[in-house]
Amino acid sequence: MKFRFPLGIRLFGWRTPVLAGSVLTLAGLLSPQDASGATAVSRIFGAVPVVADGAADTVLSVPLKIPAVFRATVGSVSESTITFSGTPNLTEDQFVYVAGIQPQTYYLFFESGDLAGRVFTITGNSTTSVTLAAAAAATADDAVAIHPYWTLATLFSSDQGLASATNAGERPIEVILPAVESDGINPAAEAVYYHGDGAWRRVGAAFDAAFDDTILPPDRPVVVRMNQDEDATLVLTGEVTMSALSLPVRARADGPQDNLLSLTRPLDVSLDDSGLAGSGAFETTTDSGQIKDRVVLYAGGPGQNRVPTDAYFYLNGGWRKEGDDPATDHGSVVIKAGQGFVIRKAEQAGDPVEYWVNTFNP
Amino acid sequence: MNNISQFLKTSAVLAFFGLAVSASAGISISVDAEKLQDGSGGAMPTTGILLLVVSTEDDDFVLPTVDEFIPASSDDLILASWDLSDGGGVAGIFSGLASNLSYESGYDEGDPLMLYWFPNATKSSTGPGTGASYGLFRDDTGILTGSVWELPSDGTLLYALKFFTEDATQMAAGGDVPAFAGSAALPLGVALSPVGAPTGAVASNLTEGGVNVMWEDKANNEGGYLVERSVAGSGIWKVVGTALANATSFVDLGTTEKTSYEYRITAMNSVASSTEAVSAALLTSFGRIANISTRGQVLTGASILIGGFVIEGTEDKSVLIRAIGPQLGVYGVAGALTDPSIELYRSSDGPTEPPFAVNTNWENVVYSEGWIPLANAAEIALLTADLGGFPLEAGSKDAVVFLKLSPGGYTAKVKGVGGTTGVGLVEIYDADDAAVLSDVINISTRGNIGTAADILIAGFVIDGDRSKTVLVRGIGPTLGGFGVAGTITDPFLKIQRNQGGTLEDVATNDNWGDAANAAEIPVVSQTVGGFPLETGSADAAILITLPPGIYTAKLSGVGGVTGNGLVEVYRVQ
Repeated sequence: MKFRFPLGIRLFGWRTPVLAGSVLTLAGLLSPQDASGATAVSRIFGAVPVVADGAADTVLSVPLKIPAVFRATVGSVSESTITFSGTPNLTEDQFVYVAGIQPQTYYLFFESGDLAGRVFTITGNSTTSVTLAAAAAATADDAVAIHPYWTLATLFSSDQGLASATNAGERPIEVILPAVESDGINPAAEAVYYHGDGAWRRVGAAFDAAFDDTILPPDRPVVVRMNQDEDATLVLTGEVTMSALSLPVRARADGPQDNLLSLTRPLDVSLDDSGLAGSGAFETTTDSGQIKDRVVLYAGGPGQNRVPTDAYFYLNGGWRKEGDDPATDHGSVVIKAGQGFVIRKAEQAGDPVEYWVNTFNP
Repeated sequence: MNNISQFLKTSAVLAFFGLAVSASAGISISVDAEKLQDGSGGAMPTTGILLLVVSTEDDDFVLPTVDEFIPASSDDLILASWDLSDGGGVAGIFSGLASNLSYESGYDEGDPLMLYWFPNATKSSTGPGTGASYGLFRDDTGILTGSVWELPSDGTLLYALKFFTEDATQMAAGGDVPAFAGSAALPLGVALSPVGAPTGAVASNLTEGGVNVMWEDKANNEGGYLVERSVAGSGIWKVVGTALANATSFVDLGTTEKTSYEYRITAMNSVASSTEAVSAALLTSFGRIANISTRGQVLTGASILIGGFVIEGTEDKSVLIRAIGPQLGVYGVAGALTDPSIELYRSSDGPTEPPFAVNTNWENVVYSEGWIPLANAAEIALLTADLGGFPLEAGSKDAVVFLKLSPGGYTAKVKGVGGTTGVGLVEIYDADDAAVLSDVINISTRGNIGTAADILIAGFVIDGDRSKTVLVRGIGPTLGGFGVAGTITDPFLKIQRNQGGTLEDVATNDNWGDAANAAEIPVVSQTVGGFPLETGSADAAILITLPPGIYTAKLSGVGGVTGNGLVEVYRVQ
């Protein structure tokens, strides 16, 4: 599996005791607590610059995580409660969001085991366990990590220098959350946010209500809409996900279904390296006249309200481009780091949801 | 009969229907509005109802009745309903999102959209109710709001509708929608008829600046007028303002000088607009110094007559420059110079560079660099007459050059051939059409200031139909600081206007620091490129706005003192 470094990417640290100054700062700040109370080994941290073109939409996939604050292995499981091995020494409810007091929402990320790559929101915790929003069929010794979700305030922090709205109706930059759970293709906006008067605001909410803590799930892209003509460069920093990613992909019996997805990878991933073909989440095509599932990528170029246009399907052992000669191999086409994409599922009986597992092996 | 809750439920059902079976894409529409009003013109309360409605079939909207917000018999559908008591919380403004609408719900791309607001309705209202009033708005062209109010193509992530009236202050810093459009004063049961289009648009320049646009009001149901401006031929229209109902004129103060504009007038109410009135192209007003001249003693050495002038702009400028002596004598000026010569220098040339144009006899021109090849004697006579200059007699020894000069600074030296001396006059005429984007903006003449007829006299003509502000300076003491010998110690400046051959005093000044607007003079001097006058000096200066006309600036000495001096005329704006 090959990963290509996009222009400008920088990765810091690689389990090495000799680190550059800036990396030392990061490593020192970000060493997570672990179940034994000892300092964990350094992780890889990186920075990925993403340019949001002026007067255009950028479908942003966040390529890095906020560094883990806790790592452990699973000791035992009881439905939605995971008890950790060892001596976690957690503080009760330290991972519970409380508006104005504890502004972060946390999730449990499985780094190994059958659930490797899956994300579960934490709703509560004791000194030894966490309670998840959904039951997790984990097994003992699965490696897990606890990360804060990115939020509007943490991903688009003031350090990014994004323009704030002087007037609520004239918003230079909007962050749009697509309705990813909706049926059909090309989902529309579910919520629209903008920064104004010192906080993130939501279109349609009270003008003085703050939405800084709105979470941005790692497997879902957001759309950065630039209503201003000037470009903006977002420098996204965080921890590189070394383990597998497991993304839910659903189909519908009533028609094609778009899955607007984000790979938490700081590197371009080619279609050949994606692991999609042959996974249970992607139906290969046997007849180019009856294309099954597609990977649909956003073409470059300016403009708002862009829809993904470059569709690829898997046929006869290779990736083909819709509208092109089906004998031409497009396996080297990449899902760009930092850019969202679509898996467009063909109709499928039973409305199934399958997980696509993408592994990291640079 | 549906109440608002049912409408909300209906919308939800529609959305759910779309979500349940759609294989198509969705669309989302954001709506931002200010300033929404109630029926009395106050800010709409935070308890009213807003509806975003689409006409699904006939592209027409059936208006509310006492019992129904949207008549059930119509093809209109509610896309989104908002109860302001649910959020927002600021009177007169609104921001909302209609999320993930489906085209499988009975409407299609291109269907027109309308925003309704009912200030007195609540979520439990079954209809507007007897005596209620409402407001409505749509922008069918996108001129006012930037977006055409119709459904976008399927799959549009977010379509933004902005409804900002000109009195918006919170959602936007003013909008292009006339304020009346925010009113909720429409009575129920009254049909809105098409609005009559204005006719007879005429644009004219105002002397004080700006353009006055007039039209004929042909509507009896307009809410107001939208005034747009376009650089003639560009096809790009920009909203420059609005006018109230029954208005027939508008003053546009945002124009640029020497630009051809067209104006388009649209009668509007909240749901309809009608445009017929488009004015003919108008070259906007301008003011320029079309002619400047200085009369003075032409002596020898440092006391020859030296005129400097500046051409500012982006295009080359045709100028006619004359050095008059003998012809002054014909007009009765005593001691006139008998045989003047004129030498022209560029300020950008070095001090040892020879003049790039020379003439000693207007009937014997010799072409050289920059000369315009129409300048034989007959043509110069015609041109001079056209520019308003007095004629030169055949055989006179007055000197003339006629050139096209690039923007920059120039110096014209007037001498007596063979060292002769006498009273001379140097004149510079702007010989171009006013549309040329360059102007002569300054003349400065250095000469000897005597007494009586031998004082230094500068003349200038403000052309066009617009007043101009000028700075006129008469400099003596400060000039001495530049090494000029024998400068006049206390100059006195007077501006007169020629009114039908009679000179009327306009302004005088002895010491510039005593002027009422003395504080502005150093600032303006710096702006126009003049060197600073010494604080407390006896130099004279007048900063004044003058209407088009013929003017004279006379520089004499207080108490009859004499000496070398400098008179300058700057066009300020």
